[in-house]
Amino acid sequence: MHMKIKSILLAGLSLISMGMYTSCENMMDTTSNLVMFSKDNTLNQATDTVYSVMGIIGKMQAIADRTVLLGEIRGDLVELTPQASVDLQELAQFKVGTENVYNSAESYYAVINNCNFYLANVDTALKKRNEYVFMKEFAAVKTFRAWTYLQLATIYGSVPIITEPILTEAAANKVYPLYNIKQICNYFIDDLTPYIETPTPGYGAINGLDSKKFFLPTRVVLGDLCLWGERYLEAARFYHDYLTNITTQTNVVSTSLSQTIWNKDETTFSKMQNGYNYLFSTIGNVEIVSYIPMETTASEKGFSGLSNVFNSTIQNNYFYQATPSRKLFELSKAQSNCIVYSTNNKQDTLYAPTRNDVNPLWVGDLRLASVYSTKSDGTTINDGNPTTSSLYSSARQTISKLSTGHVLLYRRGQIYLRFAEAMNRAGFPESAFAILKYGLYQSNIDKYVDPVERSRAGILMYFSQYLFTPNNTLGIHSRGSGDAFANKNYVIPELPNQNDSINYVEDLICDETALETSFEGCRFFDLVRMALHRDDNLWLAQKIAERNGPANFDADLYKTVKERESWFLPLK
Amino acid sequence: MKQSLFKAGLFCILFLGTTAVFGQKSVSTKVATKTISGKVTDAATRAPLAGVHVQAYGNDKFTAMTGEDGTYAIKVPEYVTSVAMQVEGYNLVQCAINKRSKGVDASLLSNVFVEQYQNRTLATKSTTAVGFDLSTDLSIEPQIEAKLGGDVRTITRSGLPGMGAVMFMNGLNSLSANAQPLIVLDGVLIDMQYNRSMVHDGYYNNLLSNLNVGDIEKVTVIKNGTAIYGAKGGNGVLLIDTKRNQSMATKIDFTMSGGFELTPMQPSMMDATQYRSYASELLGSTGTTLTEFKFLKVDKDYYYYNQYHNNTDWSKETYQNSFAQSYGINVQGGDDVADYNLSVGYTNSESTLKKNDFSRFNLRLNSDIRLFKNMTARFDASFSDVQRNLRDDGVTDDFTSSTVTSPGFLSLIKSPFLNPYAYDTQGRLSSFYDEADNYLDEVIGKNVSLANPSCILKYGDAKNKNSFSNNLITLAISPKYQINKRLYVSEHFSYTSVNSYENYYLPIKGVPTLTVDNNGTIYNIAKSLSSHQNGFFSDTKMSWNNQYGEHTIKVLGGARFINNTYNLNLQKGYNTGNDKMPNMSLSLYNKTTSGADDISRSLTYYANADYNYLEKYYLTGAVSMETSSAFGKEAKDGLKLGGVAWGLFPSIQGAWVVSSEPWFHSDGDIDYLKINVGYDLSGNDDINYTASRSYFTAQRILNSIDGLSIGNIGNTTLQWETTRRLTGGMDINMFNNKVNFQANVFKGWTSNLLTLKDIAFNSGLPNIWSNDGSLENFGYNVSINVKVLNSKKWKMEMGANVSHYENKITALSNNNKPFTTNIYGATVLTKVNSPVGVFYGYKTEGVYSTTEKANADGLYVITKTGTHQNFGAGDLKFTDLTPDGVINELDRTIIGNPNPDLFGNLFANLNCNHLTLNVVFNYSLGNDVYNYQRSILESGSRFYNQTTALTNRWTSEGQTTTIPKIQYGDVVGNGRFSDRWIEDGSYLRLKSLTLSYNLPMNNTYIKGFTVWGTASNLLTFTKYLGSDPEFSLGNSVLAQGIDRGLLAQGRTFTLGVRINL
Repeated sequence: MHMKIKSILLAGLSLISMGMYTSCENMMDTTSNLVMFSKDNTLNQATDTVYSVMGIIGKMQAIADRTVLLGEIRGDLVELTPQASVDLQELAQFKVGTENVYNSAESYYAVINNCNFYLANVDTALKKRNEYVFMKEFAAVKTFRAWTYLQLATIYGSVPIITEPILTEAAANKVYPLYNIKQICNYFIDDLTPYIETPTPGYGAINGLDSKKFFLPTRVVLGDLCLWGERYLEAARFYHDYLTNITTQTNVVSTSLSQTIWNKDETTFSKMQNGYNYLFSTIGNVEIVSYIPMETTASEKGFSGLSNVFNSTIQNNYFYQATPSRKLFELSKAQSNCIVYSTNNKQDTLYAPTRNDVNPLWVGDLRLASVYSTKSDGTTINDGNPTTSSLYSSARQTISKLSTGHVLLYRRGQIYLRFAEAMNRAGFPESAFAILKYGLYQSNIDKYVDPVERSRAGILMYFSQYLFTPNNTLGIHSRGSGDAFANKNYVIPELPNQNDSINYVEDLICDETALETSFEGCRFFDLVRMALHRDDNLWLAQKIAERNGPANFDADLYKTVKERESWFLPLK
Repeated sequence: MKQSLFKAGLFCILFLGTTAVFGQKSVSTKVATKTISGKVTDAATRAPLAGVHVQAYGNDKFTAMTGEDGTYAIKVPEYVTSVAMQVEGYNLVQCAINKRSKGVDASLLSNVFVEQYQNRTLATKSTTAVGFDLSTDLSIEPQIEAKLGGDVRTITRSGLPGMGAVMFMNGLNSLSANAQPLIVLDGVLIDMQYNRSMVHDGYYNNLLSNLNVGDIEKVTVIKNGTAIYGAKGGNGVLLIDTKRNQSMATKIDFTMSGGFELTPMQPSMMDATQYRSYASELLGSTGTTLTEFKFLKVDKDYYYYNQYHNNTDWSKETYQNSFAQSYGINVQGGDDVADYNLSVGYTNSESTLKKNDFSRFNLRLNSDIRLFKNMTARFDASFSDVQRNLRDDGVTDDFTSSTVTSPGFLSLIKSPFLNPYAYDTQGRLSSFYDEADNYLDEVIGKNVSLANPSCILKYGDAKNKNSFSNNLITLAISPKYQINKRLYVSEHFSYTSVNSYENYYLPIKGVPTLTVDNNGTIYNIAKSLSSHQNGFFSDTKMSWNNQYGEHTIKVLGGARFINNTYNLNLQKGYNTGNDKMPNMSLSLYNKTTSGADDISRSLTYYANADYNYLEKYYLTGAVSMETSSAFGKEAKDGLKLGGVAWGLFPSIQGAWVVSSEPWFHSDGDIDYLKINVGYDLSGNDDINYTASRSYFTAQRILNSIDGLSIGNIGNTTLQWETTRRLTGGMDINMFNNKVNFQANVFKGWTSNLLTLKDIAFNSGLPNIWSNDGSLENFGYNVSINVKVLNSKKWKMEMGANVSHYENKITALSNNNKPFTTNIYGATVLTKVNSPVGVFYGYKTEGVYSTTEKANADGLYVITKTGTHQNFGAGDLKFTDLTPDGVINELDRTIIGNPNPDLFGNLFANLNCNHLTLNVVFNYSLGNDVYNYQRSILESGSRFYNQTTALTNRWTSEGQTTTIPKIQYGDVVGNGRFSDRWIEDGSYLRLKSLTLSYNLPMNNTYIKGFTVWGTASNLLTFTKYLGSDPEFSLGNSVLAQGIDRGLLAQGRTFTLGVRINL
């Protein structure tokens, strides 16, 4: 009897234990409301993809400042103040080690890995109302990935290429093939080309921002890839197709007429109409094509610290760390500025004086004067901080290009300059020069571009006469250097051969990008690209070494930069 | 296949006992016996003792009783090697039966002495502390420190009521995971919330303060054999058991006590004149171009003269002498159906730091019910509710991003020439508190303004402003079925719930506008926190034991399941509008919420077998097998079964009672000698519960949409930290049991340290959790206990123990790459061959008295922007370890070690008739302290009041002094983390002195009456310059020895009565 009871009890006990054991796998599989385990992130709901795409944008935020500073501080348009951090100084001196905070391939791969996960898992076959639901996002994510790889390649020279998501340690430790800039370009040109017709996604306004501009124009990224990949004609084609909106032939991307120019109704050159900085005053301006939307409060991860580098803020106690270089001042001053003065039916071309004692900056190209301003300390800012001079206050600098707090990736002026660069290298220097001097619309093209070159260019020089007109198109040089079209000093001289002309025009484009896109973070990359096209290290070294003005030529820097390895950061 | 093998194995383990049951027959009755006789006397009076219960040790079948003359004769089996003797009022004694001519005589010691023998001997080793009835401590840790301080390194967190202590056993057994022992409360493994967020700075939610110390029966330190706790036992185990009824008689105890704590000692700060001189000198280094300053004007008719000419001791505004009171009723009783122990208590304690008061209500019912034949059940329920008001405490970590909010610290640094009260327009002192100071606005700006601590105390005072409440509910039901005399099964089911709520409010009034987290200007801060922890615990057990003549066996096996959930909701916002609206609301500026939602589950099978032969040779083997939701599915050392990984934790212990050997020389002075050795393998499962899995995290993008991105690459091989530990010890009683000596040694090897390991950059993440790195601990503990005096009237016992551990890191992740951790200004180095937690900083060689000397050395620093800054006269000379002229990170070296050389305690008990005096000292020797508070109070770089040491600062060329010149902003870094702030933290403290008088009662109503008085922390001998050499700012092993100036423990005097009805 007793035995029986025991046996029953023991059997029961063993059953309980067995039951406990067999369901172990499920039992030990816990869930969470705070994180989403990768197996649950299935990306087959419209909302899932929005969250994932915004996650990628969150990772873009992490590379925004870094990319701009790598492009700007290493260039020749800014120099550092004594307050600049050691990391920035290392950038400027081309002495970046693996410990430098701006050297982080990891943050670029964070964008890539999230893109890879999305691309590998999104259900592109899902159809609703006979439309592929995720196709737009799919293309947009591919474009993000290609753009990020292009940044990586141009920062590091050659980088491992990974197109599958890494979700295990083993996958992270695998050895991936290293691709150089050209290989990266070629790979992603093929990868992106099928999606040029796919429209950009848009989620309406997010926090008051047009979400369409968070995405990158696929054709422009392809243009960049081709330009870096030395496939100039294709590059020109992609830029042209983007600018003329080849698919719909509506909403063309024209330059607009915004410029900072001397008043045309007086001859004194004492007043100017500042229309250039208007392009940057709001992020909604049509000039701005795409940007990385940044957070508005400094405590958040995705807040841009660029204004603390370039501007006087409360956070940096008004001590900015970078300021326009003497080279930029000189370049800006050296531009010939003229206006077509018209009064009483008389027209005349007047050249602005090359010296201005009231406002020393108001000489030559006016774009720098338009976006850059200084104040001696404490004159107007009344924020409760001491107004008297002490160790703890500084002169104030403001670069209004950075006023939106977001980080620009593409804008019209810059795309036109890339188009010019591509056209020039593709063998159309006159067309390229026309972009700078006259602005592309049909009557200008007919008038100023050599007919032989024009016919060779074919569709590349076709700009619909209904859509591109004198009312919306301007030569880029005119944005700051007056009526450039009338400027007799601004011409391509007679040169022995076309190659010389191409190099001459490229120099003009190079200066134009300096005047047009300074402080936007593309300078060093532009210089590297052009130096690679010319295969001329010394050309680049010369420019960088003259950062503080030709009079302060930095021989040590020249020695460093003439070695191509110094252009790229050590990969870590 | 594997599964079925496993099932078979499991079956074997679980039913090991069963087969034995089935196979067993009753023991043969015919055993050879021998007769032992002897005499038992009282050790104090030498008088014979009658009625002493004598039995064969470990075998209650063979017993005898002494007669009037104290003699006895007992017939025991031939194999019996010792006898036990016991009678009420005396301690148990175990006597070996050696080849004696006369017999086994013994003299018994009164039970006022510490018990030395146990009824049962085991191969495993533990130490137990009992007798907490006269304690008025708010939580058990001070008692652990006083009674088990040699076994458990106990470091009181702060002087805030009920803050408890950080405890470590067997050295430091982890680096980044929890290193504190597992707490097992009445058999239930408790999650102590060690690393959970709180909203008040300097505060820790100590769950042990929910337990009424008077309800605790005993605390046991398990010194080895922890394998049975599987992946949770690696840091040692502390068992806490609450009182249960022991007798049928109904007993009612009423306890009442009141206490008084004196304000702890504060650093000696400069007075108004000294500070004014300091501030005016410091102004010179700000580069200001102003020439006149309001607070420096000496004209008595000047409008602001009165405002800036006070001499305020701000500490009087924030500190006080405090009172505490405590009441408790405990009712015990039982009949043949049930036993019960019911206790109700209320405690209220002020804090010496104003507005940090503690109160607790607690209720506990422990019952043992006999349901029917062979079936019993325990039913326990408890509830406790803690209420506090709180303020930030301690020196803040970062002075640049926020204003100082801790009233205690503010009262040290606030300018003494200011007054807490405002002056009116006529220059008369009003009764209204003054606003935050503004005397530096014109020079430095508003962001250096300091709050009026009185305002934080007053305007932050309300239930919905700065309060904390916490309740702990436990329910346990444990049925036990006794199948037969030797076999039982039991189930222990328990439910634990902890709910905590905390409100934080920094008022507008009296607090400067501030910048927090770069959020622009804000006026006040509101935070709220709620957290809920639920624990579900089930332990199914089966136990069997038997005695086969000289063989004794006990086998136990079971399964334990734990499910813990913890969720936390923390909200923060700014600018509530005014001080009457402190609550969180939608309209607050820059609201943020954060939280936690953790689930952890574990399942453990365990088995334990105790065996002894002749009550002389003991052997214990145990093994457990644990799986947990935190382990990776392919855990490296795991056994993969049923889709999960299991850790296997075996242990084996052996003991030998040498003194029971027949050859043992019994005429010597040694009464008892036991030697034990053991080997354990146990683990630490304090793994982030999501670390082994890849997951996405949400980040709020543009204040609108949650962006999901890869947040972790899971390490599927992630597992517990493994600790192997070899222990050895001996236990000797000498000179008629008057001297007890114990020594224990251990050597532990911890491997698979949980660590963040670098991962390839192409993963887009910096690191992943992994098991990498190892460390070792070696240590010993020696204790001696002497009955100095044992007369009829006077009894005195003294004891001391000494503990030591050495700790060494033997391997680290990322190819043994050393790393540093910054904690409150300290740089803590983690490096192979170094102990855990060492301080890594600069060495100093005094102050340059002249410019000439400074220039001769030509040392300089490179500032943040790369410019050179030379050290000059009045600057410190830092040792240039890499002699390159520049003082930089490469010149750092190990400048201190917070681990003590020796620690432990000393005690003495004196008993005379009904009067007992108990004295306990505790000490720690050779531990270095980084005095972070002093580094702020003596750095001479801010407009903070400084200690009087700064009156010796360098001021003129040629002056020889140890205090460098003062300079706003400290450009060359004289105040950097250097040996200047490292002090010897050794101390000896008179922890408690208790005098109690047990009034003899012979009354029908009152059975006993005890009055007692206790003085705590009466004396501290130390060279340490801070207020208290004992403090702990956090639970992490890396945060030890850093003094951030949390409230010091004050001298406490308590009077109490205890009435037994």
